[in-house]
Amino acid sequence: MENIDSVTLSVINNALINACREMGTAMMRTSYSPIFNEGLDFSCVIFNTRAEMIGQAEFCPTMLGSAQYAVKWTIEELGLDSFEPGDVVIHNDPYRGQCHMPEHMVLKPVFHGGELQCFVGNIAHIGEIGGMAPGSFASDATEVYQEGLRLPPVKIMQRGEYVKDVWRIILTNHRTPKTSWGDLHAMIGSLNIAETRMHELLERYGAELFAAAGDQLLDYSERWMRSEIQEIPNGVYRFQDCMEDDGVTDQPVWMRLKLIVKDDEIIADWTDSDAQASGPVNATFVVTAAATYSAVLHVTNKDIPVNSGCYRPIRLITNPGTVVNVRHPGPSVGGNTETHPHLQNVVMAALSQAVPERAAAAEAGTACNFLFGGAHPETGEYYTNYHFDGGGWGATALHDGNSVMCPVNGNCRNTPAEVLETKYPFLTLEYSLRTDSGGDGKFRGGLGSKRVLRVVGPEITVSALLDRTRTYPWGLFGAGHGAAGGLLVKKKGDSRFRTFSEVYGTVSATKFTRIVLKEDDEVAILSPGGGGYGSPSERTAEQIEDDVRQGLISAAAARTSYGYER
Amino acid sequence: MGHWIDKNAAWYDQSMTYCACCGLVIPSGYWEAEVRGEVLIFCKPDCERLYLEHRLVEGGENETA
Amino acid sequence: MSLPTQFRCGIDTGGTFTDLVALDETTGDLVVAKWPSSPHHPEEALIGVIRESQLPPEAFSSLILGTTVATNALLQREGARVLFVTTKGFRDVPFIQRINRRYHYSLEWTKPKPLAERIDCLEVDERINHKGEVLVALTDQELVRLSERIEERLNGTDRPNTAVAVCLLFSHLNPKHEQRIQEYLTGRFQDLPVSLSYRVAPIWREYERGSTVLADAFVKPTLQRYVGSVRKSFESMGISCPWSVMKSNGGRATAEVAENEPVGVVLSGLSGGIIGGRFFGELADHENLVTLDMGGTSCDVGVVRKGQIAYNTDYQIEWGLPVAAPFVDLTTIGAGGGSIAWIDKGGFLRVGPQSAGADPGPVCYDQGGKDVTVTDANLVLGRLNPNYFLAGKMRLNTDKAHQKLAELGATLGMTVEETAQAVIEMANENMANAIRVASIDRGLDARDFTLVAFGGAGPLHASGIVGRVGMKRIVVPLYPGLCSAFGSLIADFQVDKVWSKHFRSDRVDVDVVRKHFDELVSEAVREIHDEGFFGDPEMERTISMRYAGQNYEHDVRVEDGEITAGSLDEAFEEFHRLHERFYGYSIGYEVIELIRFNVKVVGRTDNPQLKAVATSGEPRPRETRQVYFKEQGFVACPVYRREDLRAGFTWEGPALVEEADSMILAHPGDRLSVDAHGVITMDV
Repeated sequence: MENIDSVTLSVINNALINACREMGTAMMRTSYSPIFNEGLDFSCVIFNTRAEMIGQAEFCPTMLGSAQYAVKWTIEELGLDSFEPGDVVIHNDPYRGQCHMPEHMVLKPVFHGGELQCFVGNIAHIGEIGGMAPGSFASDATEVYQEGLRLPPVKIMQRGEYVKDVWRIILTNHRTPKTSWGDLHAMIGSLNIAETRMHELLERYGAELFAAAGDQLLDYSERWMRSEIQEIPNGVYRFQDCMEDDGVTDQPVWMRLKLIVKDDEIIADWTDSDAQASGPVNATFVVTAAATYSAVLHVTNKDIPVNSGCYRPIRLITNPGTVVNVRHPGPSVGGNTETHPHLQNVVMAALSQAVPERAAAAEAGTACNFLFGGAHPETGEYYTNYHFDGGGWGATALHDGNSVMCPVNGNCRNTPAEVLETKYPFLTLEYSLRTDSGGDGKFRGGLGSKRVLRVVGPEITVSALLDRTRTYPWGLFGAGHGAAGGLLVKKKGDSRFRTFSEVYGTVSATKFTRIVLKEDDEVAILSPGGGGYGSPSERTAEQIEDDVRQGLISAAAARTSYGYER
Repeated sequence: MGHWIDKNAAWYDQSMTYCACCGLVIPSGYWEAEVRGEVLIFCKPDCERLYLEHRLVEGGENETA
Repeated sequence: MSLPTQFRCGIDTGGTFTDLVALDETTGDLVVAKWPSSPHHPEEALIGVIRESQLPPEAFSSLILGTTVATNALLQREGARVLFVTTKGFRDVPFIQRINRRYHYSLEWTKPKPLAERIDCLEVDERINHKGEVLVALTDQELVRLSERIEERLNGTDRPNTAVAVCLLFSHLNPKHEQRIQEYLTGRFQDLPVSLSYRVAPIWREYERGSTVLADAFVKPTLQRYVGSVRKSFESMGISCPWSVMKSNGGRATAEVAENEPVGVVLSGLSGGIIGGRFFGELADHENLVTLDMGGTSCDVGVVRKGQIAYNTDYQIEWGLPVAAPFVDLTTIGAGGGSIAWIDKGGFLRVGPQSAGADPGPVCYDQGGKDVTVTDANLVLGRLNPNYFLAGKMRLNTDKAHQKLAELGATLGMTVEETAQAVIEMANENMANAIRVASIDRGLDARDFTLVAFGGAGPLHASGIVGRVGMKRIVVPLYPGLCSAFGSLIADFQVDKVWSKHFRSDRVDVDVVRKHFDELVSEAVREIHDEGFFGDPEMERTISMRYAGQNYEHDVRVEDGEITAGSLDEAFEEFHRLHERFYGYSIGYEVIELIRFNVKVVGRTDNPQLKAVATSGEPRPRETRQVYFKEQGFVACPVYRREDLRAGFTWEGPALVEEADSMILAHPGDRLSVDAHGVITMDV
């Protein structure tokens, strides 16, 4: 088909985005887990029949870069001719193109005139999927089999009817089946809405034009991305960073990047990275790919329509069996929340050498994953919750880093204290900014947060998976790094907070499972601050004074970091 | 120059094949190519190209390739 | 000239003009006037526009003002210094916000600054839990400590411009501590306004409730000054009739209510348009309407379903700074006459959201504007009259617009006309998309609706927009450019009340629900009387429900009459049905949670009887102009003046109808007709 005029193309692009937004709104409004309806930890996508993403809406970007791999697996494993109207496929296998086990994709084929035209789908974090730890974040898992129920692409709806056997397997293996039932229905319900929109679009434009428009949108984004990469100076840029430990052994694990910018293409060569870890900090290939794509998108024009076309000029090289491409059956649940932002920060740091004016210093790089569950003291019902926190973002060439933000690989919201306490037996004593946690610099890094929770009721079983408690989010171009984070506990009657290793003897102080806290015990979650940008000596007196006045930095820090005396 | 191969695995087969260049687990079809006497499996032709242009050269296995 | 007191008057203060529409209640005559706005002294424009109308002060029976003073104070951050009082441990909540970001892939974005500085955020040692039980009591000592810190901050500051906002955890369930703080501070500091979160937004989620009470306190002194100066101006002019301010929810508030709870009038200037649009839509016998108010910089799209305006409670001052108070739900996009056409890096033509504004304005204003705008494109295609823009008050330079469009066209490889056409199509598409979003968000199909087009540019673009969304009919009100002022004068009285209380559908206490609903109703009726309505108000009771475990609610209407177990069961059934319709599934056996109990009372204002227009005679076009259409190219097009049109007149496009404040375009094949009151209907 010849070129579609740009107005029509733009209309179809908007319609695809809007259909995805509607899917997201429906999921937010009808889902059950806070990670869904407060956190918005999901992505909504539309794919063509060649497994290329032609539309998406801005919710959580983590899954966007990886979705094309998951859809490709689904199509190739089941076969294009196996789909019928009303089918819905579910899929969460990290060894078949998913980021990690909690993230479940549901995918629905859209038919028009009896022919398969496209797929509508969404990928969302299901809070509890079984496995060795409540909340399915087993920080000391050594195999994928301990991380929960693994589902290859299988139909859970066939011609609009429940495939009951599959549902029964799922609900039997999840600790909170009622919540899974609700969340999965929210996901599937939203697919129906998007399917209706696709029918309207196909009705209006016809299948041929619809397909051609998808192709041309992919080409458009690719073209734009190539022209953006063309503006990045050619060269080889290197950077490395580590996970401070893996939850099973107390050893750092390094990811090393050689980033090659060559004309209108980028090659991300990760082959010098360490062998995969014993614990679950391993990234699957698609996580590494998504992190690389996302970092590049951060330094290019924000208006490029994000679809598979943008990713075409970005090529990856990894070795299976390394921390950036875990080999079966290695564990990977933390690879998506923790290693993912680390990887993205590494790519950003490499790019900062090429385009300093467009880059940012390192952000907190940890979601401060804190999982808990038990029997609710008021209802007796079993509950689990996946809790996370934001941290400071890195400063840029233009401004201070934002304080307390969701890590760069996601875009989730925090859970309000009033929602948390209504649902779970924790009392929030403090949720505050950490003074002095932002890296000093011409532009200061964003501040991290401190959250203190007290157990209400007899006991709560907790697990955690945090990083950057012994390493720091780096600054750029002479700036200081952000403060490290931490996870501390104060037993009832104790006078001070101590680490979980000190109190419970865990191998890792921040990556462990199934510690039982008792009534009135307190937990403090400290998220890291972001790195600064540029020499602190270039920060103006007014900015320093204002920071001191507002309590964002202490007078002592103003003196030691900036040499500022009032 | 390589060619496409259908893995044709049985539906119950759970074995995994990884691309020799990018490292992706390969779903069903793959691109097979002979590189200096060795048969390698790639997920797509572009990965064969990338392997020849970059991995062989940059990886230092053979400066002349 | 001596007139009896018979003029009901609406005045709308906009960014560039202050508009007045007065209705003679005995004859149905309309008097209109326009006067340049004076953003820093809005009362001056009020005086100006009233003088311009030539109506004597004793002629007015009532005045209703739509104003953007509160909106502007928020948007331009020119409000009070706010001292934020909150529960110990939570003073950073306004800064932490919800930790998400506006753009996925932009490092340029910075978090919005809250409306209080961090040093002005004060904590008090008190705590209420999720059941409304007091865990830590609020002591007198703590109140003394708080007032000392407030005292410190008041010393040496601009005291009249300072306000307190209180947001304590779970105050929506138990407001005693908030009330106690207000009592204490009001006793201790005279004239220090204190806003309470449970009053302005009785909802859970501390950030959203806190952000709302911050906004209320932030604009309070501004509102007080505004009300004071209006009061004084009216006195000085000898106007003694009752007057009120439009509320964001489309109702109206007396001056006292507006200054005490300004969060209710934050979007005062927005609600007039949709009300005016609904009136004319209904006059033309349509109850399902989409209103489109397209002005110079932006376009507001609203939905009226079966005569009901849609409401929302999530206004964002800027992305991430919510105000959770009821307002008429409008989708606003950056599409107006001044919207700029540009080419993005991928080579796509884009229009807006940037606007050339009034200064320098479009290229054709000849005031130094360099960017092609929608107005320039309209002019080049013959859709605007260069000699009759604003009734001839401004002459437009067609040559300059032509030249800049040619430059833009060169980069796209298109002719001037093709380029101009594409610019208009992009703008139309943006507006069509706003209509889709506005209707889809509510699960509605735009094709079942009639478009009411107004604002300076709405009637010009309407025909090009409706086809894109499958709509068939357009209604153009009288004085399309003054529709917001007209809406103000016909606004109803409206009070919204909420009680937050949690029940499960399997354990709901019908007696308690009945008792509270009754209390809410009598409170609301009392307030609506305070606002100046003395008749029997209409009433609507809804319950916000969700399936047990969900976090977002859906409002379900409860049948009129006494609340019984039966009427609640009926509401639960309705919830399942609504859930199915909106979200594609329902779970029939699932327990439903009841979260909020809402009462809305409405005091209807009599609809005005508009004067009939003359029926005799065939209007003659004033001129014939070449107008460009995509399919036909340039076509000779008759140009009518609206004042020449007669009731019952029907004809077929292409045609233009010009009037002082707007221009109507009928595409070839569109059918136009004029009804008894002069309202134009266009079938496409």
